[in-house]
Amino acid sequence: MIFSSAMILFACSGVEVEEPESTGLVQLEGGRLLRRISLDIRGVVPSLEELEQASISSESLEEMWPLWLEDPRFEERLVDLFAEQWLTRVDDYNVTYLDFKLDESSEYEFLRSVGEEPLRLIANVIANDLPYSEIATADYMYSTEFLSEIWPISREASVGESGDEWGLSSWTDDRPSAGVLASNGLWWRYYTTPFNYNRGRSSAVTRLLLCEDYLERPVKFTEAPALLDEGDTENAIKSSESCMACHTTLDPMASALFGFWWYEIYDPAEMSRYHADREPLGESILGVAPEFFGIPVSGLGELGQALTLDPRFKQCAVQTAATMFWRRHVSLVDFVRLSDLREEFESTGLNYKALVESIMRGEVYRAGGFTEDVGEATEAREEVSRIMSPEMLSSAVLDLTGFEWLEGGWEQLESDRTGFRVLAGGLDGVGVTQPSRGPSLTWALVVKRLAQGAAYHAVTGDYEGEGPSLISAGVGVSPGDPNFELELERLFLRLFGREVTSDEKASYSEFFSVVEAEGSQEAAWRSIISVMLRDPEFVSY
Amino acid sequence: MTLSRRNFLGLTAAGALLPRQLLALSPEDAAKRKFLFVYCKGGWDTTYCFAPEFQNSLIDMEGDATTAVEGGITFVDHETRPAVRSFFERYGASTAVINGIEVRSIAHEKAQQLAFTGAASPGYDDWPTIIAHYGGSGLQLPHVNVSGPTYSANFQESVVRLGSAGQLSSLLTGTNISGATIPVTLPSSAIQVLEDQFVLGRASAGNRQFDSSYSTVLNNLNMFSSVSENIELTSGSNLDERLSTVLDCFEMGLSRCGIVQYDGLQDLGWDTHGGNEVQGWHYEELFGALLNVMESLEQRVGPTGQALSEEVCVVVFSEMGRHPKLNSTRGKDHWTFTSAMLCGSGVDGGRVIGGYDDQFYGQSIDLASGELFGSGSKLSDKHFGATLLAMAGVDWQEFSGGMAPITGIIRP
Repeated sequence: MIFSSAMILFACSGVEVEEPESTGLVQLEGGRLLRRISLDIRGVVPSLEELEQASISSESLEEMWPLWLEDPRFEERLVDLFAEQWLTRVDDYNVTYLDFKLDESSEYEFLRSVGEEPLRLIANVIANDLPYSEIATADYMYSTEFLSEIWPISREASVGESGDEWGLSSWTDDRPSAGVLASNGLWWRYYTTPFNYNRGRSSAVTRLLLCEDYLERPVKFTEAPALLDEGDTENAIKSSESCMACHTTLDPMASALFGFWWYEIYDPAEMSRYHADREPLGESILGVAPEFFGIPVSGLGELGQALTLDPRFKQCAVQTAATMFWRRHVSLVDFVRLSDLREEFESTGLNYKALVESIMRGEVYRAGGFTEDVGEATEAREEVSRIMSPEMLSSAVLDLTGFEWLEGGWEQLESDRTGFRVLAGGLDGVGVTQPSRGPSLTWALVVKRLAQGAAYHAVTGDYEGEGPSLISAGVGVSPGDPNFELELERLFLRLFGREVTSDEKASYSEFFSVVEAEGSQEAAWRSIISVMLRDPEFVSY
Repeated sequence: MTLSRRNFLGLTAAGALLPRQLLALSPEDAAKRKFLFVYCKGGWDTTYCFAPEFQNSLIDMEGDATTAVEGGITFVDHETRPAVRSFFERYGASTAVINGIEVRSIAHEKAQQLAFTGAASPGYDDWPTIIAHYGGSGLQLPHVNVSGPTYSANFQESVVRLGSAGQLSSLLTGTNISGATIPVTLPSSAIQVLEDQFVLGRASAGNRQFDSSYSTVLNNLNMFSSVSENIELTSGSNLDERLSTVLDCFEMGLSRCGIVQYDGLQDLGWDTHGGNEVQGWHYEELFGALLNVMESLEQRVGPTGQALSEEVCVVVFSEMGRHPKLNSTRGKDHWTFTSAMLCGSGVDGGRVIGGYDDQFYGQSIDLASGELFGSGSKLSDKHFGATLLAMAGVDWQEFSGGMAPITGIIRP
C-alpha cells in the first residue's frame, strides 16, 4: 500500500489511526547495527578499525556513521536505491547502440548511461546538500563523456579526465530547466506512443514525485458513454465524470510535455533532442493548456517548479526514502513516523541527507528482531533481516575481495541480458519492478558462484602476495596455529559484524581440516571465505 | 491449502455450493493439479479468435473470417488459421473460453499486474506463485519461470527463473563464473559438496525467518542439483522449446506451475496499434504450439504414473483486449475487456463462458453455472484468479478480494 494524501485526510478527519508500534521490535546494536548502516550508505561492510572504534561505546558508533553520508560511495548507493523506485535502469530502450553506430562493446555503457542519467542528477543533488526540490528545477544535469557524444550535452571543464566519470553538464538544445523532468533517460524509459500524447508520462511523474499513481485507479469503460465510434474516447475524456476524474488533471500536465513528444518513437534523433517547437502542440492536440493541478504553467520549467511546491512532493520524498531504507512499503501504520520525518525534512530546507540520517536513527530502521510478544501484523510487516540486493552484494564483495563479476564488459549482477540481476533478487525495471524480500533458489545459486569466484580471487591473491589481503594472517596457517584463530576472529568481525564463538571456531576448524585433506591449505582458505560469503549472516543485514 | 471451513462457508454464502462444485474442489484432485501459464503479452485482439461478434456492426471484424463451432467452442475461424480450428476440433471438449473479463486498466504494466495478481498496487503475489507456494512443498522448482513476468512479493522462494539466456543452467554448472573476465577456478566437486553442506548447516542452525527461508532454498538447490543433469533447462529459442521446458519440469516432478511468455510470431508483439492483421499470425502460431503441448501431455507420464494430461491445466491469457474499432493506422488500441482460455485437467470443457454485449463490454454471468445472467457477476481479473486458485485447492478468499471462482467451469 502506498501512503497517500488521501490517507492523511482520513487520519485528520478524526478517525483513529493505529499508533506506530514501539514494542515488538528488538533493536540492532554494535557491530550488526554499524554493518547495516554501512551497507545502506556505502554498500560495503565496515572496516575492522571502524568496528573496533564502534565497540568502545554507542556514542562513538553514533558519532561515526553520519560522516559516511559524505562518502562518495553514498552517491553510488543512492543511484541503486533510486533505480528501484524510478525503474529507469532497464536493458531495453526503443533504440539501441546500433542506432548510434556504436561498437557492440559500447552496449552495456550505452544502457547504463541512459538509465542512470536521471538518477545521477538526483544523487548529486542529495550528495551536494542541495534542496531536494532541485531534482525537478535544476538547470544542469550529469553526464559521462559517452553520453555527451550521443546527446546534445556540454560537459563542464572541471570534470575529471576520465570519461567514465559522471560530471556536471548542461543540455545544449535549449530545453527548459526542469531537472529530471528534462531528462532523456527518464523519457526514454517512460516513452509515449503517438496517440497517448504524454498521458502515461504524466502518470509516471505523479507516481515518482507525488506518490500518486493514477494507474492504481480502476479504469471503468462501462461508466463512460459509448466508446465505439471515432472520437468517442476523446469526447469521454472531456465529458464523462468517470474519465474526467483522472484526465482533468492528467491531461494538462501531459500538455506541458510536448517538447519531448516524438513523431517517430524509434528514431534516435527524435528521441535525443528536445523539440521546443512542439510545445504548443499540447494545447492544440489535447485541447487543454499546460497546468499543474489547476495552476496554470507556461511549460515544462514552471511545471517542475509547481510540482516541488506541492505538499505531496515533500511527503512523497519522505515516503520514498522510508521505503528505500526500511526495505518495505509504507502504510497507514507509519502515519505518525512519516509525519515527524516530513516535519524534520522541511525544517532542514529539504536536505535529503538529514532525512536519511533521521530514518537511520529510528526504531523501524534499526529493527533486528522481534520480542516474544510481538503482534502478528508487526511480524508480517517489518523487515528485521534484510536481504542484500545484487548491487549491494557486488559492491560489498568487490570491496572485500577485489572480485568483480564481469563478462564481456557487462557487470553480471547489474544486468539481465547474460547476467543475474533478476535471478539474484533485483529488478529489471519492466518485468520485475519490486526487489525481492527473501531468498530464492536462483538467488542462492548466484550467491554461491559469486562467493566461489571472490574466494578464489582473494585467496589466490593473498597467497601470491597480491590483492586486498583479506586473510593476511591466515596465509600458510592451518587449525592449531594461533594465527588461524586470530584470522577467524578477524573474518567474523569484518564479515558478520560480531565476535566468533568458541563453537564456531571449532566447526570452522573442522571444516577447514576436512577441505585441506581433500585439497590443500590454500583450497581450504578458499572454502572458508566462500562459505562465509554465502553465510546467512553475511548475505542478510 | 485445501478446502477449508472458511471457503466452504464462503461458497455457501455465494450460493455457489452445489454437489458438482464440492467435487470440483476435491482436495486430492486439486492438490495434484499443475498449471502451465501461457501469457500473450501486449493485449490480444479477442475478435480474431474468442469473440465472433460478426452480428455487431459496430465491431471491426477480420475480413473473410467466419463463426465456427468445434468441440463445443464457438470461435472465429479463418482459412489462414488451421491450427486454431484443429485445436478446438481435438481439444475443444476439454477447453473453456472465458469472455468478457475486465482488467480495469489500459496501461500495459498495470493491466499485466492486474491480470497476474488482481491488484493494482504492489505487494501481491501472482496466481502461479500462490499456487506453487501452497502446493509446491517438496518440489525443487515450484514455479518455473521460463519467460515472462512474475510477481512474488511474499512467496519468492517458490519462484525459479531460468533467465532469458539460460542463466540458471550456467549457474548450475558454474561455467559463467569460470568464464568470467577475472579468471576463476572452481573447487572440486567434492569440496563444493562440503561447502554446500556447511552453508546449509549454518542456515539451518539460525533462528530467524531469513535463515529458515534460506535453509529451504538450499535444500531445494541441493536436491535439484542432483537431478538437473537429466533436464535441459533452456529458455529456448522458440515457443515450442519454452513450453517443452515446463513440461519437462512437470514430468520430472520438479514443478507445480510454469510460465512462458509469448510475444507473437517473430516477436512482433500483440500490441498492434498498427497493422492489426498480425494478430491472426500470432494466434495461428500460438495454437500450433498449444496443439503440440496437448499432444505431449497425453504422451508424457508424471511421477504419479498418470498421463500429464490428467494433471495439467493450460492457462492462456493476455493482460488486456483490443478496442473493437480499427484506428487510423489499421491497428486497434487498448480495451479493458479480454478473454482467457483454460484447457485440460479440471476444466469442464466444451464451453464458452461469459460474453460481450453490444458495446463490447463484458456480460454478467452466474458463477455457479457459467451461464449469462443479467444480475450475476461481472467478470474481473479477480474472478479469473479465484477460479485458478479454486482449481488448485487454494483458499481463494485470501487472495481474490472476495471475488468467487467461476465454479461452473471447474470439472467435477
